[in-house]
Amino acid sequence: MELNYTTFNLKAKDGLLVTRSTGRKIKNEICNVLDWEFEYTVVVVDFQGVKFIDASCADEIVVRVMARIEAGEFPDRFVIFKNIAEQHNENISMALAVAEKMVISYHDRKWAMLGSMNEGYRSALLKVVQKKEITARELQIEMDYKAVNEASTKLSKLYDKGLIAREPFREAVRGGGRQFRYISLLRDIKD
Amino acid sequence: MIDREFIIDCATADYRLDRHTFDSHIAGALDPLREEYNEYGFTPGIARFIIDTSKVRECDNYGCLALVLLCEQLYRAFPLSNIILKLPRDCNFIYDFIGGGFYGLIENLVKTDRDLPFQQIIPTVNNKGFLVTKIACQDDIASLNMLSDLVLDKSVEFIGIKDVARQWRLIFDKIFTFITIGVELAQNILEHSQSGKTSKSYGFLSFMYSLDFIEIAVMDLGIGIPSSLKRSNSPEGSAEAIKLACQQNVSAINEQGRGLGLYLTKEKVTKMKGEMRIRSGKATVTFNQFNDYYGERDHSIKTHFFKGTQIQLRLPVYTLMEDKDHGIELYDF
Repeated sequence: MELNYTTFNLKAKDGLLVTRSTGRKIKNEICNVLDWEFEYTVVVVDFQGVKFIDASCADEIVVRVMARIEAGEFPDRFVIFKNIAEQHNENISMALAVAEKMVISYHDRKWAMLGSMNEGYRSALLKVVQKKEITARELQIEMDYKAVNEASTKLSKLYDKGLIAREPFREAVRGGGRQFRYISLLRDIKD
Repeated sequence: MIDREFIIDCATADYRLDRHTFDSHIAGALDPLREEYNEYGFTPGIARFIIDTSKVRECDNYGCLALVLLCEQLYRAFPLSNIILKLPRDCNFIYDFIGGGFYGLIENLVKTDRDLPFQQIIPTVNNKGFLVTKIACQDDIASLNMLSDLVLDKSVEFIGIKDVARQWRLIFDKIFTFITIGVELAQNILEHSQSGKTSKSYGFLSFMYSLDFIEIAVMDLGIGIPSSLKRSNSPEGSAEAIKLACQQNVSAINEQGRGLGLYLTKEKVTKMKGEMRIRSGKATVTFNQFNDYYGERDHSIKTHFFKGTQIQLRLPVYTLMEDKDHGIELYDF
């Protein structure tokens, strides 16, 4: 299964994304794209051309979009961010930290985690991106977890937060449990 | 092109600008100008009047009203004249125009539904750059030209920051970041102040730069923070209300995710070793890196009642030099 990428270019008057009402409008546009796209689509929100984003706008565009993904409103559709500069990072990270959320951003084959998350989950996400795709069993071995449950919980949580994708893997195990292969959202990016 | 310039000196022996000063000193200032106008005649619109308050140390409400009246007379006598107000030393027009006198000036402008009567306001001595602008609608915020101008490094001479930006290219981004905090505060004016007579709210934003500090201030004559929070949070007194407003997720608008702006502003400014002063109702509360409102070191003082809200952010320039960037941690993929 290959991930599809759709770019959403942020349009800002004079390069400024300010005020909550502006953010709300853009949030709705992003959510419309998410709603309309097929499963396994990653919407890339591009900050190219944005000079400044304030905290209220960041809260709407980044935090609230992620909150709706986390609530399961757009199953198997994801959002990552592109070209987030230091100027944007400050307000976005603060808004994410307050809401205790995290997002993935990338630029020129480099990526970063913005926002706040438990160190254990961060290192698990780092490993998923590094390996491009991984199962719970593989993660347990890679990270030296005591039980596979720990890996499974971490991956499942990262998936719930919209930070990794997953696809069914093999047949259901005895007892009805399903197995998944977890996929980095950056795996199939070409640029 | 301006071919005539008149200076109206507001300096007095006791450095005060009050009713007495106005009646005895300034009210007659226009007479010789009128005489000159009648005698020689000059084309209206190419005369510049400089109202020089640089030596004023104290100004009461009447003194401020006097300035407005003076401007009115100038406009009436010379309709297209260019009027400039020269400020007292280190004075921030928005926050502390000579000890609360500005309140009277603004209130008179509000009552008569007029803009600031001066085309230009110039700082004196220590103030290197100064800008004051009216915030009346979303477009005023979104198009705060100084923000984009600062980034594009053009047309910024009038606020005097260009030279500094050239010298200290390193701190340019930080100055910009600090200024954009003002945008968030300006947004609060429209959302919360209810300063207009109808549903329309408005206020003023100023930006000032000197060799030692940069400063942003916003003010409105709305309902103030205590009244704004009364319905949703019932704080005890003005100081409590201001402190409460600076906490995370406290907002007059009961909606999830609101109440970020003032909290983040406080966090950012104190993190940058700056100072945030808020005046509303009967109290002024100051936040800085040493004195937060928690614990015993409550840094609030009682002042005379101010029905609107004034917020002043001041950042020492040296902190911009020593503050290091905490960049984003990047990984390859």
